[in-house]
Amino acid sequence: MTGMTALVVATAIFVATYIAIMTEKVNRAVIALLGAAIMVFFGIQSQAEAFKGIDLNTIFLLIGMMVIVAVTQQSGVFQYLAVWSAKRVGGRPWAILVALGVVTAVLSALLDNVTTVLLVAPVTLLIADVLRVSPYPYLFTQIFASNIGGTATLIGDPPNIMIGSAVGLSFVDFLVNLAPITVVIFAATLGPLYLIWGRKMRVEEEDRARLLEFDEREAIQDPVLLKKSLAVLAAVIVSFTAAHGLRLEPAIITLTGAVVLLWWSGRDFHQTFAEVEWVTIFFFVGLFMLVHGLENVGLLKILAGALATWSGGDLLLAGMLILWGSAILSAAVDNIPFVATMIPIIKGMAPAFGGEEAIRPLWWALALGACLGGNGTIIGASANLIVAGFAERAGQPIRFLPFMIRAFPLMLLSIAISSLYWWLRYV
Amino acid sequence: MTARDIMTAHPVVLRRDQSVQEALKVIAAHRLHDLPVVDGEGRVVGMLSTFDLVRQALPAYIVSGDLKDVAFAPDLSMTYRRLEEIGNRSVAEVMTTDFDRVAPETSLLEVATLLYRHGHRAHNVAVADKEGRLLGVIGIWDIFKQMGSLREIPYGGSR
Repeated sequence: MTGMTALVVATAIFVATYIAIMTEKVNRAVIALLGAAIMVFFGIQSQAEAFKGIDLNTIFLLIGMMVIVAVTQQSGVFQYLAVWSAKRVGGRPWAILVALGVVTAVLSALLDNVTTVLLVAPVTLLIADVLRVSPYPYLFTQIFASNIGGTATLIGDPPNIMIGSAVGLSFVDFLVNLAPITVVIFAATLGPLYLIWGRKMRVEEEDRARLLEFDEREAIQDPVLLKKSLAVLAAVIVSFTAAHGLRLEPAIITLTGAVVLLWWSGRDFHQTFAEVEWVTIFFFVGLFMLVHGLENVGLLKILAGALATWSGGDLLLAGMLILWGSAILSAAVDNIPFVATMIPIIKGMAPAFGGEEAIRPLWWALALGACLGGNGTIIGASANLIVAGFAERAGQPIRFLPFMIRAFPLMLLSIAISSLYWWLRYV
Repeated sequence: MTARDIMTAHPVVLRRDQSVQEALKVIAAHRLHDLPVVDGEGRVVGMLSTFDLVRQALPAYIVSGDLKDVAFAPDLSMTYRRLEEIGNRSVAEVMTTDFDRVAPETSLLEVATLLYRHGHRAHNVAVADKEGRLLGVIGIWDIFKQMGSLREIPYGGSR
């Protein structure tokens, strides 16, 4: 199959797969892999060609981080940090909201967002129970904190891992270009949250006293494991920052950290590997093959050309288009397939703008839009859905529309701040 | 050996409209873990499990296993409040409908397997006829009674 027919067939398979992923009737990894296989059956690309599309740096970086997190979380350090921060600010309800938000944001920057909220949200519910306050504002803040924090680093959120890997941007590049603005965005988000909830928060003195009786040291399950985990995590992050000088890619650093920690901690190998989220991994594998098919038939080159022509080679226009477009789309659909598709498109725009170096700011626009856009709706990011699950079980369900009425404007605020930052810094 | 041979026939039963506090007094008096709940026609409709009541008094995020260890939290006044609140409900509201019900012809092997597998939700298996009428219950001690010298121990809770 060649030329126009291949283009139409590949696009049809891709669109059908996308729709099937969005309806969430069948597991998304199954759909993505099936779509990728169908492309091979139709002769869009050979198996070997499809496999070339799989970005193994992204895959192994994700697996490595998942193993490190699976071991580290058993030490109880996440619960420790949550309880410690809540006590540290004297058990006052608004201050706890900010403190837990900061803990969530920092952990999300260093680990994946889903794991972070999975571990911090239950402690948050416990704290809200003790203080006899509604957990809703706290959980709402944690959704924002996890997505904003995840934007800050290379390993914070899957879109960043994909972008960094595809373009060769380093850990330090992300830290320098994205981390500062995420701090501003987080601070700016707290303002409206204070007006909505913070100024009305009250707790009984006896409940506050009870919270201060919490003993965070009891949360540490295994002090030895804690030390080993933190040592490995620190070594991995330091190696990231030195990766360029060491001529190493992030995946090999993370994998080394993962196996060293596995061996050193003496954890069960089978059990730990079983905790890797294989659904997510295979979802990535399937998507990479699918997108590669679109690339092979030339569709993405056409789209890149259209986007370049439309923006008339104007960096500001292209950047704003990517930033706002990806924010709004990422609020509505999963940002992972979106970013996987956008990467080859933006790459294809390089010649029109005068080379790879010239389009570098566009990658930051994509990262900011795709990561922060996830805050717009309750289905915008996986971490949101995890938090919603906790809220539901705690009898304080986070409903789609009430969440969106507050979250979408706040998300737009974060994109507005990003736009200003991006314009000042890169244009 | 079948369920009919080992079950405690004519067991103590609960009604749906009884309060939980009343029901617990009955359960305690017979030194049991749970009791079957029957409707007006003698059909078994649920099981009041003490283990399940404890589960209901705990917050969802602990039951789900998301918060594995709570040693760092000294105590929660809410646990008392919830226990108090559960005590004032009716049996129908808190009973578990997800319990094991077997036919009188079921083998001892299968009953013991069910008790072992599902011990976390109820410690008794209900024995009922085809119409769902309760014939008896089989608990852990009905199994142990198969050991000769334990045959006459006063566990079981017959009426």
